[in-house]
Amino acid sequence: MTARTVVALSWSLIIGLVGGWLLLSPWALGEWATGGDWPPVVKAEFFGGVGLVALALSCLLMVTVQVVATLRSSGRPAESPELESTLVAVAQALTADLMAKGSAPGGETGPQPAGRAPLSESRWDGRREDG
Amino acid sequence: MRRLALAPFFLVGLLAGVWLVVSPWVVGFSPGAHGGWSASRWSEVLAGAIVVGVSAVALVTTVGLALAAAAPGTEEAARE
Repeated sequence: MTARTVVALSWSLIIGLVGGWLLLSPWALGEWATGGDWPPVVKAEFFGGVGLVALALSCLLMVTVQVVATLRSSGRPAESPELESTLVAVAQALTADLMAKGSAPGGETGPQPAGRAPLSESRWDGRREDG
Repeated sequence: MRRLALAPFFLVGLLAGVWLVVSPWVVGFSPGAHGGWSASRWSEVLAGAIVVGVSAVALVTTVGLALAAAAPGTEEAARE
């Protein structure tokens, strides 16, 4: 993505500069300084320059749209299917672990430090009161 | 396909550059002093040559990067 963006931006810059020069060249080179209809040479240079500037600007717009779309998609990692399935698996494992601890005799399987309430009684009961 | 989204711009630029190179003869630019090229003819041909060169490099680079990314076994090809 980065290499393509750099190539496209460089191309747009150079083409835009060349188009700008072609736009101004009839006046810069003194080919058409008086009023009246434009001769074919001036028309060819001027409209060629207009076309190149329009092409450079449209390419610049396209690059901007692509970069914004890429940044938007990379800014939302939750849309990644791998990450989503991993998060679901972790949530299921945590739920199963909590259910197993809750159904065990005494609520806890391991030894508890003295004076400290088990996790299932302290944290989860507090949440119920808050909610 | 998204990797080649900018290729049409480069292709149009290539064709526009070719037109700029040949336009002095097609349109009929006036000759310069002593029968040589006029300043406007030099300007048009040089501008066309720059546009052709830059567009060709950009087109080859874009298509090459797209082909390299789409080649089997690469990380980007596996992602799509």
